[in-house]
Amino acid sequence: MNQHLPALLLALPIGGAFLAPLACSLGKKLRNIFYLTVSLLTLICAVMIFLETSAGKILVYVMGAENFALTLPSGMAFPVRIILEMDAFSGLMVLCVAIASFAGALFSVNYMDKFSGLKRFISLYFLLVLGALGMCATGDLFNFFVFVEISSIASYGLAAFWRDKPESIEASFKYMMLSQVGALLLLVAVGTLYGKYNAINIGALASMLQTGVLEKIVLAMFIAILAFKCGAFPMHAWLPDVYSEAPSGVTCLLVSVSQASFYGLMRICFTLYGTNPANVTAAWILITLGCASMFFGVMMAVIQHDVKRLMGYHSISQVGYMLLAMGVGLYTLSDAVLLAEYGFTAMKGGIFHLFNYSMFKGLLFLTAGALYYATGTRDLDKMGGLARSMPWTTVMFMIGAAAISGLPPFSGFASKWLIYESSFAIHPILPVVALLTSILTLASFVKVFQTAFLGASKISLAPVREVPVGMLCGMGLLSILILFVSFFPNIFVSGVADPSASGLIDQAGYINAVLGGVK
Amino acid sequence: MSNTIFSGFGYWNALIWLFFFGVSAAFAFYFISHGRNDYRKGTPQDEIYYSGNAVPQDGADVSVPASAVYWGFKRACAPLYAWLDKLHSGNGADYMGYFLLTFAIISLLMLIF
Amino acid sequence: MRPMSLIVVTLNKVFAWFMILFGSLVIMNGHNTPGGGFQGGAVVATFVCFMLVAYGGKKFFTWVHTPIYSGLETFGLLAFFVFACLGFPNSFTYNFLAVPAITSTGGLIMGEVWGGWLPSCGTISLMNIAVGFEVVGALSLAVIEMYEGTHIDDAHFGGECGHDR
Repeated sequence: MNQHLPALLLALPIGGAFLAPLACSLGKKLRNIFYLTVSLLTLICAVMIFLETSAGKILVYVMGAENFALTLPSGMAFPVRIILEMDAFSGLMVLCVAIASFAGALFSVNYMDKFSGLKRFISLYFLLVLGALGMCATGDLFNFFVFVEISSIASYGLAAFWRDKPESIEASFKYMMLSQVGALLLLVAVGTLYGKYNAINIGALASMLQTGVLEKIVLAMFIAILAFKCGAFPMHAWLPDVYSEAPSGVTCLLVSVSQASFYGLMRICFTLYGTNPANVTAAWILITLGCASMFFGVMMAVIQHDVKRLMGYHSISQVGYMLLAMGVGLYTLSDAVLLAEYGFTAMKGGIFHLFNYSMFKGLLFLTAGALYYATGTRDLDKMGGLARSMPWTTVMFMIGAAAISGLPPFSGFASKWLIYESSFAIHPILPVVALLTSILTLASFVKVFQTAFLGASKISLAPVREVPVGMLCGMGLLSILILFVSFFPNIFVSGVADPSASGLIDQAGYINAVLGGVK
Repeated sequence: MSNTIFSGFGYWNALIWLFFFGVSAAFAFYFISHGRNDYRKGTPQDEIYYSGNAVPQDGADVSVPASAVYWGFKRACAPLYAWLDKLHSGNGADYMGYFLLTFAIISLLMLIF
Repeated sequence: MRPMSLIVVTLNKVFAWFMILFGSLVIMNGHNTPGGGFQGGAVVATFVCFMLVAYGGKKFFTWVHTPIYSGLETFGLLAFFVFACLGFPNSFTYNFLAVPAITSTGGLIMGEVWGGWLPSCGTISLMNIAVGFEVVGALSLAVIEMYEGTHIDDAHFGGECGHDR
């Protein structure tokens, strides 16, 4: 059964989405069991894939072939079927998405309990998981577009789930408008490559990609749309709206979905373009976008007083760190000496930060959801003294806030430190911006902690109690993972970030896994 | 040490950090224990001093709201925030413009360099 | 929305049913003619539009039962999923029903012996039908929900607006 893992990984959420209407008609208890079971099975599947890929294996799966490994049917020179291809980086991303989806599901069971329309909610939730997993698993650009669309459409629905709130509808509508134009751009980019090379498989395209004006414009399209999807600075405006209006369990997942777009960007820059000269400009663009996102994201976050909106702006600034780190890696890609000197470290830092970010940002959004569940408001002005009535949430918020602000000894520090220590080699201003961002991040989370959890108890918040146990479990899962990674970062860096970064650099390995001995 | 990570310029180990944190905390507690120890619970020492006025019952009356925190920072960065506020107009057409503009700039940079 | 004139209603009586037939044809022949599950399903779903436009919202909602469309949608999706899963010993979505017509020399006879019939297209035609069911249900539901969302009919105004109940 192990060979079928990539297909199972996608089949489980599809089955979950399609069965949800039936399962929801069986009653509340069975519905919750169904929701959690499918999420858990997806997580188990993702962990198995992660274990296989982090050992250095590239999983290839051909959909609909007589044999799952038959990448080149009937002696053809290039692949024609839908091919899933997963290396260590994909395995890591799949794990991030699956953990976030399971934690979000645990959280949502209690969080969404009092609302109607849950069968649609669960269907869309699994479709969102499917879209994100598919983006990480696919080895072919057109299917990447399809999965981007699946995840986008599911997130429009989920962002507008509370459709009696005009803000939700507005956020969803804006996201839909922007995202559709972006998706068209992505389709044009894929179509252009298909028109020129007659192939859409990433490995096959990478093996024959030339340098030219067309390729440069296509790379510009890919960078623009995928940086938009993960919320880089000038194109970020949809992100705080959507993140704050979606139900919190979904926001936890949306964080990972935006990371899947980031994964796509990296896959295209590193694996598809590789040492193509267009990548030097691309590296500087990524670094610039990263610095701008970091600084302006956190500047906007400092002044927010809506807790989820504040965290939404932090997502922008944290994505900036990853863009910066991967930009530094991309810059050194064609120079083996620089790559060994600091580029590889930057990539490790970026990938490590990506995992950390999915975990602590997911956790923070869940604690924000817990605050909303308990107090009925997201406005920090109306909160205060909640540490007495919600001790568990407070502790978990502290873990998440310390990790995102890069306070030692938490995981955020280790990954940011790797980024500082490598990016200064390109220009000393880069780690300065990153450090400033880190300080402002700490400042804004001190503000949240001080105004929501500390201070005198307010009479209006007297009836507030700790949130139900399912929500605590969702947050607890992520907290434990953060603590584990904080104290044993070496397991993660050498066991996961290292093979992931090597997988990104190893363009020939990715191509050979599909094209086999033909090339 | 097994759980150390290296960047090529330095190293990081959470357990060593915790050890030194523990050592400095021990020193800190040692110094604190040498300070004055005349605090008594239940005496007037224990009461809140609110400029000599009666302490309000509701915590809402004594707490600083989140939107007032970092007032000075906001004031100092007012020009930047004025610009950022103008940027976040809430108008979907503007956002679309930023997206297309960014795409255009990226394409230009790609073609020039 | 008010009912339209007698001419429209009379034409609709003929034409709406014809659209169902035509859509079904497109779905059934999807595997070897232009069209397929989605296109045929969209044609069939125009039935709901025809009824809604011709008879008006009030009369239309006395006939329509949305659970039927939800059921069609779920059935179509599940059927598709089951057909995809049945290919599993080989690979996901493997066409396990297809019988490749192999000659004694080992070459494939394309479109001669089994051309266009179930044994050669296998699950493709069945999946087409499943997609057809799904699209009929989903597009009909979309039309109905969008009509309800406009609140043109007073009879349906003030129903559920959100999930916060």
